[in-house]
Amino acid sequence: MSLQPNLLPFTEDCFCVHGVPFRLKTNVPDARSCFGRLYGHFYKSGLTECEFQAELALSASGTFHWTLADRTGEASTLNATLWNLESILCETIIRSQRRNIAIHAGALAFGGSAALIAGRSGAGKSTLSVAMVRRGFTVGSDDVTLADPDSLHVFPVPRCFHLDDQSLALLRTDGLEIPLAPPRPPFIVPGDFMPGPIPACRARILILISGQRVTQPLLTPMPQAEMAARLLQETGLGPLSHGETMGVLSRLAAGARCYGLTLGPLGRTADAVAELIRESAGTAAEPQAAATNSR
Amino acid sequence: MSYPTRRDDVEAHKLPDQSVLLFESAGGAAVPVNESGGRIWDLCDGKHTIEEIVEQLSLLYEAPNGQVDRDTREFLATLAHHGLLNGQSV
Repeated sequence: MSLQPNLLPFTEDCFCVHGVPFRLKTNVPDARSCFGRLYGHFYKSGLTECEFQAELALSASGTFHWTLADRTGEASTLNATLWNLESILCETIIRSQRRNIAIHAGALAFGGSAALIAGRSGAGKSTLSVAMVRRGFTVGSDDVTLADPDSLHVFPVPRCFHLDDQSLALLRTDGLEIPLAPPRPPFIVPGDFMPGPIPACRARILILISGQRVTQPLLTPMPQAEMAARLLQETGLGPLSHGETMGVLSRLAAGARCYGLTLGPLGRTADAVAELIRESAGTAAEPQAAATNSR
Repeated sequence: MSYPTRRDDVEAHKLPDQSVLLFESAGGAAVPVNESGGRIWDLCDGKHTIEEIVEQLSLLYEAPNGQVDRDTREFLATLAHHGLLNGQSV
């Protein structure tokens, strides 16, 4: 009797995520399904010229390998391999941007506009983003959003939600049961919750999560200059100079209402954010005059 | 007599809510300041003494002179701390 896994043939899918075409090759149907859900809105059939190829393979020894350009890794579980490859893919998509800057912020869509939720890793962006789904919002990303320096349109980069046990417990208290039952890997993506991609739009609300969770959520207006400075800390090195990036962030903040958020209990926090966004949508205004720059 | 002088290579981004972002491109420091801070920044042109800056601000804000003087000096010290003013100008 052979203990070797019964290896399946490789399949190839092509995607073009925010201007970055790539091919995903795998012999693991679950992996194909996961990335299909993650990048489904960016699927491109018949794409011949790809910037790079990502591969996720199950080997005869039963381990999983991933490769992307000159980077490679392996893991004994599919989940770990999926997460590793997804992270590298996201990084590569960001690095391949020719003009757009990448902001460490999630994006929610509302009424033809977007609200960005920024904050350090572990601040609570993902948990809050998923909770917003229950309140009727479309989540484009919980982690990274690109901004076009000219139009200031924002483009969420879809990622799998990084929900740890604490996040899942919090979401359960908010009435959202995340299906974790095997055999489906816990690879939950924005596409699981939304019907289509978020159209190009501008961010009208910027929210920065900071501080420790308290008994009541606290949403307070934040000066636009402070928001721009804080976003700079959450913006990686991209195709623009430091000064150009600062200029983009200033204009982004200039066209938005800016708030600081101290998280409270998840349900009340999400309710407060939802109310704020709905109020803003109701009083939707054209962005105020752009930031002026002088020396 | 000191004449606070802002560095030429510091950008001031004036936002619609009147807040101002001072950005020093060489080191990448971004310092957000409020409206009155922006006014002081504008007056740090090397032509106004601290006393003259305080005098001008006193005309704009309803606050005791002593407080305006104290706040202005503290703010200038903050600008100097971030290296946004020329050397010995404060």
